Amino acid sequence: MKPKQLFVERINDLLGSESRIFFDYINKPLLKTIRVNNLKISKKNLIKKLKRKGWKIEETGYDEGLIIKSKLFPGELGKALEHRLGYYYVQELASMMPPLVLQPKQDEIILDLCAAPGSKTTQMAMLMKNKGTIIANDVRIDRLKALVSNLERCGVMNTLVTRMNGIVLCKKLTKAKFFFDKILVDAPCSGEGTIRNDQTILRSWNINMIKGLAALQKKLILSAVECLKPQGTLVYSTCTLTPEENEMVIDFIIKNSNIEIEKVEIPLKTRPGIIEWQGKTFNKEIKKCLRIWPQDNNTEGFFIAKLKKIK
Amino acid sequence: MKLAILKRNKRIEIEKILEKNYGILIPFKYQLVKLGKEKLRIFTGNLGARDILILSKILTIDTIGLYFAFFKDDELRISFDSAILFGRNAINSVSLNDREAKEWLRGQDLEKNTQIRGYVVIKYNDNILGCGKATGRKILNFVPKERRII
Repeated sequence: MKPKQLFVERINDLLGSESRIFFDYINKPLLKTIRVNNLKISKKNLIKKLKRKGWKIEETGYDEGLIIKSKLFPGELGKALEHRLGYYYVQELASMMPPLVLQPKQDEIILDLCAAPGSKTTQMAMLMKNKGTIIANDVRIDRLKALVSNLERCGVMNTLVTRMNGIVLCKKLTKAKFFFDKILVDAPCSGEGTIRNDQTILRSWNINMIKGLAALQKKLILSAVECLKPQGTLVYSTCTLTPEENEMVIDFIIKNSNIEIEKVEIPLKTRPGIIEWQGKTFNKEIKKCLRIWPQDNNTEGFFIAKLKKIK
Repeated sequence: MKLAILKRNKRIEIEKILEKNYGILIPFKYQLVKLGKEKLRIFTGNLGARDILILSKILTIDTIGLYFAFFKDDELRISFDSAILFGRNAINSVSLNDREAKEWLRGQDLEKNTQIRGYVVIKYNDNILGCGKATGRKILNFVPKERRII
């Protein structure tokens, strides 16, 4: 599918001459990656089982991430017995990064504001060894079904699932003086980073949708900061590459609440957040945010920011 | 959604059945939450009963924890995932061969003679495939639809 002219121009503005490599990559199929669910099985045991099936496995920079190198039938990853038993989650490597940045601990209370379909919630429950508490929320009932189903399959026991508008949820929790140690806002977005997995995004892409999503993202992050404990951590992530949905949201939250950006490192090649876009300049601290471009690690595209509430 | 957190004495009653019928002891702190009439869910989060009830009043809670067991008339049928998580050393278990495992995962009852009557943990190689009810000549299937391999 051919990208729209405006999309091409914007990527050219972001990447310059390198945009050619980006457009080559978005036409390449994604690597088949899975995340070991060590709530149910050890990595060693899973690798042994998958190798017994004849699958070729390659390790990644993230300990629980594995690449399946074998050619599989369409849907085979999801239909395998090991998947049905919850031994692994089919998850793209870049999407495994936001929970690693948040680092949820076993005694903490976590809010996953836009949780469905649950890849990051199940990963956080795994990092917390089913201790602490996660409140996993999503507003859409169809997506919530997938979330609940994935939580069951992965053996997650420390989670409370809510179905609410994220902004309303945060307001109610703040009013009840219920605050969180850490919050993940993996915001609904235009999905530019997932084009390799879903080429229809090129067709639905339009600038008005981006503007609408950016407005929603600002409301979500602002509400989320309200129910974060002082010194608490909020990770904001999207699977898109538009500055309006990423750096501009972070610039907005810096201006409108008491937060600061923290520097983070992940086991992937990243680039700093941009501080200028279409004549607008942003807070220089935004360089601490991470951009994951598909061509840098042969993954999806992602944006991650780690924020700390000052008071 | 109406949820009720089981009181300590009720939870102990369930634990006794779990140990007697399955030989299962859960080695960590948890709460059992009743959803509807017969479904029990296990919650290992660090929120106390009071916090959960407060949250249930202000939020639209869809589920809590993991579907643990179906409990009716003093019979406890552990869920597919509870069997995987807790049933490795269960006292009442039945091992399947390749053909039986295939049928089982399709959701079919198995024609299989067992010495056991009652709920059993189903094993296949070193995997656990949920829980079934052995009647002597048959094992009744409880594999959830979304986990079947058709």
